[in-house]
Amino acid sequence: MRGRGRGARGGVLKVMWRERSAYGFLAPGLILFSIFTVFALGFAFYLTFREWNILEPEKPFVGLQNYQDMVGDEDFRRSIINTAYFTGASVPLGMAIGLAVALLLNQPIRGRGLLRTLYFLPNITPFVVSAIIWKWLYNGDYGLFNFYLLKTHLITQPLTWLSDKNLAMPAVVLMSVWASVGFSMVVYLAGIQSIPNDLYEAARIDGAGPWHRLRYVTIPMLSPSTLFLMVMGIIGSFQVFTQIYIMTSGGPLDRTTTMVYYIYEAAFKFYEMGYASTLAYALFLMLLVFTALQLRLYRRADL
Amino acid sequence: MTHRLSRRSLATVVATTAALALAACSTGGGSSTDKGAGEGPVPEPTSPVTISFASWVGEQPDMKALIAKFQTAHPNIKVEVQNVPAEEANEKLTAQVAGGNPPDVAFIDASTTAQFAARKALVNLDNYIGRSDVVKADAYVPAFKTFVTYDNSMYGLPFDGESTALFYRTDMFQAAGISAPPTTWPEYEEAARKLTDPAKRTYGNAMFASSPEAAYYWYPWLWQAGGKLLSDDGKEVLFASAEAKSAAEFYVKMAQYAPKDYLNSNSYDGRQAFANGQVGMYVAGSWFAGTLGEEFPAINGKWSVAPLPKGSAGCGTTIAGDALVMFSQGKNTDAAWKFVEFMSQPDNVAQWTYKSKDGTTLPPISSLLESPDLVATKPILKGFAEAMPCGVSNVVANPDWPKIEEAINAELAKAIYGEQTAAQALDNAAAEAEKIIR
Repeated sequence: MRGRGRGARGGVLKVMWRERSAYGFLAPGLILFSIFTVFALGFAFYLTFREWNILEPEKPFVGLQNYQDMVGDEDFRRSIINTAYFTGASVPLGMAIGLAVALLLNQPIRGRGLLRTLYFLPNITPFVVSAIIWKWLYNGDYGLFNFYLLKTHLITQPLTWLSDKNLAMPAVVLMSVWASVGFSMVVYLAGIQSIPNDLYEAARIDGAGPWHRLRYVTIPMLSPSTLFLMVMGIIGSFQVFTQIYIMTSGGPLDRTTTMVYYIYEAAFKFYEMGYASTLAYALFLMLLVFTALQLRLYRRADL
Repeated sequence: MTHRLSRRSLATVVATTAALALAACSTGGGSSTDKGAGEGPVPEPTSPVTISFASWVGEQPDMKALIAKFQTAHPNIKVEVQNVPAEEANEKLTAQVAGGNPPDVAFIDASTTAQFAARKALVNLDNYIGRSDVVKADAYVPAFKTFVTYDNSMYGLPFDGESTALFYRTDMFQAAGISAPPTTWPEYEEAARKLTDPAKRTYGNAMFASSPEAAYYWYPWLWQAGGKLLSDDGKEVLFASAEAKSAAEFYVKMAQYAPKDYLNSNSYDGRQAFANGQVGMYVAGSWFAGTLGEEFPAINGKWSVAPLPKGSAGCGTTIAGDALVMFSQGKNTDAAWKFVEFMSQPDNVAQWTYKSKDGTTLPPISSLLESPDLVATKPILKGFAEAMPCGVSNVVANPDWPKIEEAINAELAKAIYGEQTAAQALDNAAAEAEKIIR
């Protein structure tokens, strides 16, 4: 490895020239990426030191004012807590249920292909549509949830779910878990099927019952899938927006205002592009820390 | 179906920013007061000219018919229609003005007129109005004239308008033994109490704590109590006065007669509750009548409209509307005026507003508003027309206003959820507003 690296260093340009046709093929993607991602990133960073309301051509320099405002912004702090709440509840729950469903659907049962499709269906349903339907399911007077909960006498008074300041976030979490279970299931199913059968046989010979086989064979062997789902889940749920936008608009009383929703409000409700960019960079930093942590975990686990 | 309220509130934000944007660009079109100087009727162009007309209503059959009629009467003037979605109209116009290429005529949210006029982007219409036999400045309803007046001159002609009124379910009123819609605050509360029966899932009125609904639907009560939002110069916070507090207390108290389900919703989504017969009274603009007619024909005849109840300071309702304006950088100002003048003829305004098939907007011309023809054509508009003289605009020309309104909304929402009293809500919001204004 080392020798090859040293040899190539002098001839980078040479190699590039030799492979020039590859750059031609890369160009369309690279150009689009540069304009719409790299440039946007750079422009947003530039905006964090500016005040801008989109319409005005002037973008006065405000120094670190946006950063100062952010540090003292209680609403932003609350949005971080709300996001952590959402992530902490929805990611483990979605993974646990996904694993359970994967284990069940790995059994030789009738129509399991159909069942797998059904569980995966929410994942490919347009999210806005699901969110609108769930909004109706949560309706206090006419929603299906209340109808069955009341019928089974689990509750005596109808719950108002999305309009209740303490229930709104759990309600959004539940809906998000429903939507994400299919994905966890597919990933776990693939993981389960790649576990060599010898391991189970060996465990059985050693006298391990079904529980022990799950605990000491399946779950450890699935840790790459678990880590993958955790990384994707955390990154995804830190950016939760659609279901908040459709189902609660951040309410009631800002109890479901997550970071991205708060950034959206700063940008498109108050037209404070500079401040919104600053907040977006804060979110970016948080995600960067998480990703770095998880990459270390990956390496340590030598996966 | 455009959600009327959100369009308005967005327009407010955009207008204030637009005003700032325009300040930064040199408009350079010269003085706008000398346009149209002269005597007698504006002459017809002798060779063919084309004028551009920007709006979000150019595809509506009534607008198409009016334009066709104009072109038949004025064969030398061709109208080129530019369509812009309502939400983007102000942004687009701002960009066009900045780029030196605005349309000749535009249909805009009337409340944004003054802000365009302040930046010399619009033609002062006083000269043209003085020469016209058709357009009379004092024919307009005063509140709408205020929208388009800047520095004592008219920069636009009001073209349509709407007010906020009380929608009520006649069938539910009958069932609850209420003979007539409430005309005072105590009557309103009495009606709300009688209509509320959680066991039957029926409620007196609807209440929304989401932004900006909590604040927006509080304003009419504020006007009725004689309260104001800010001082005229926009520097003083007036919405924590005793009058304002009495309005907020009454408003927040009404939350107990509202379905909790819709607390975190908005007045557009809440239409379901009214259509389902869950809610007996619904405060909304005339867009709501259009929505009900289009979407819920099944309840035709089971609802009606009345003016909002009167408070201690009399009647009060929130109004909004659209106006026709001409841009000072336009090239064919005389021809543009011919078009604006034609559109503003009372019969054409009537055609555009209450005589239009599904239209539920009101004519901003007093004689039309008071004519028996209006009620005969569209009985449902009676309540709105009666409320019009009490109209107050909630538009505040202050770039910080959206943030202040957000503070009012957040604090009132807490009061609606029972976390604080209405008086505390206004005090907190006022403290926040003072900080924002300083």
